[in-house]
Amino acid sequence: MKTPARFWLAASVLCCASALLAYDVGDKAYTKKLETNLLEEPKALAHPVAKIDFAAELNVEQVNGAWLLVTTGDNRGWVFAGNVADQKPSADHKTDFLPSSASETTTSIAARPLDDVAKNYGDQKGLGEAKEDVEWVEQQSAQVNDAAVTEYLQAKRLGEYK
Amino acid sequence: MKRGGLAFAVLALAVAVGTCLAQFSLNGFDPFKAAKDVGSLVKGTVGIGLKEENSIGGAVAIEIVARFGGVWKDAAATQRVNLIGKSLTRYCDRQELNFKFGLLNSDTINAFSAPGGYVFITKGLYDLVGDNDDQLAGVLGHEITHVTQRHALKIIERGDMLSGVSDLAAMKSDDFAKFSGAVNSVTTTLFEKGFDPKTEYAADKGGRALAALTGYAPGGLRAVLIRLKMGGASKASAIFPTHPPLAKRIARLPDE
Repeated sequence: MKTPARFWLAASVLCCASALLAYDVGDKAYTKKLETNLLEEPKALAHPVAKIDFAAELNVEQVNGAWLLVTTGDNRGWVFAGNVADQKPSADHKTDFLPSSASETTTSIAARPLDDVAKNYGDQKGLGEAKEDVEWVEQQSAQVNDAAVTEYLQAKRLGEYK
Repeated sequence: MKRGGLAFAVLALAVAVGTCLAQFSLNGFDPFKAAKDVGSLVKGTVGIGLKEENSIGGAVAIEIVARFGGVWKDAAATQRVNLIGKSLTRYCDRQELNFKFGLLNSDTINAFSAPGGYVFITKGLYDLVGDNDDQLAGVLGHEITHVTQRHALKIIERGDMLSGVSDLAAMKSDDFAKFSGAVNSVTTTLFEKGFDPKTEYAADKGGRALAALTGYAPGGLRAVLIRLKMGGASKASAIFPTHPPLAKRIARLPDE
């Protein structure tokens, strides 16, 4: 009996999904952004029901594709798996985040540009031209800010907008 | 009928293994997590914080650009690399970093990353993947994973190279010498010795997972490696000379 091609296709998709699935019911997950919204439904544009602080522990109650229904304290809602981590981030890292106004950069200001130590290194090593090239990359990169990335994800139906 | 039965048995085993792997990484011992834990311990002992990471990363980025023909200043291509790269980093595990993606003006086929979030790919590699976003995402995911798992910093931490340096910004000559040595240890690894195979395989695995989570085809990186392997001897001998053999990397990545 010949095994139908669609059987193998379905089987390979099942295998892939199984291998890529990072969370299961009963697992712990941790918020990794400064603020993480829990949503009413497993959709990126759903109504937020709670805003959770950095490095909070979440209990996974249900898995729906790449979306997790989680609880923490009295809060319960959906979160995209890419917005949480399977290991708790160090609480010390909270101070490493830039203020949102700085990370949402304009076209001319790069977030965390080359610092004086790196610039001094470039100068002392005679690599001034390379230093200027890196600064050009930083300026170009700064133009692709959070809003532009969100727009791109939505247009391409990627990440939580899939 | 017998063939169908055998095929089903193989499939069932594959599904079971896949499920076990998924759960294994969550509930049981996971060697990659264990490696991360060891890294955290080292960090706690020696202590390369974000400020120092950015200084080292900036200096390494300058060295990468100087070594590979400067930056290819194509605004549209640079924007595309940043859009795909930042889509990936939106879901990476080090949200405190600000990643920057650039292109190197070199026809060789290679990619590099530096601490703090600098990622570069050569024009040669950019041209090779063409308009295939899945493949570009696979390559960028690999480099992003080197940064998020602090692979380069661990070299410095293991050697305790910044021991005794209290304030890099003060730039005392002794401190500059130590800083320069630390940068050199990273660039020597990037340009000459390469990371150990285990580290490269971890970057392959992490990059594939990040690309898939973001919604790109999980097989993008594997497809690039296959294209490189099939490319023949002309450029293949110079491709990723510091990386493990392509065949071994391909074999370790799932076939899909």
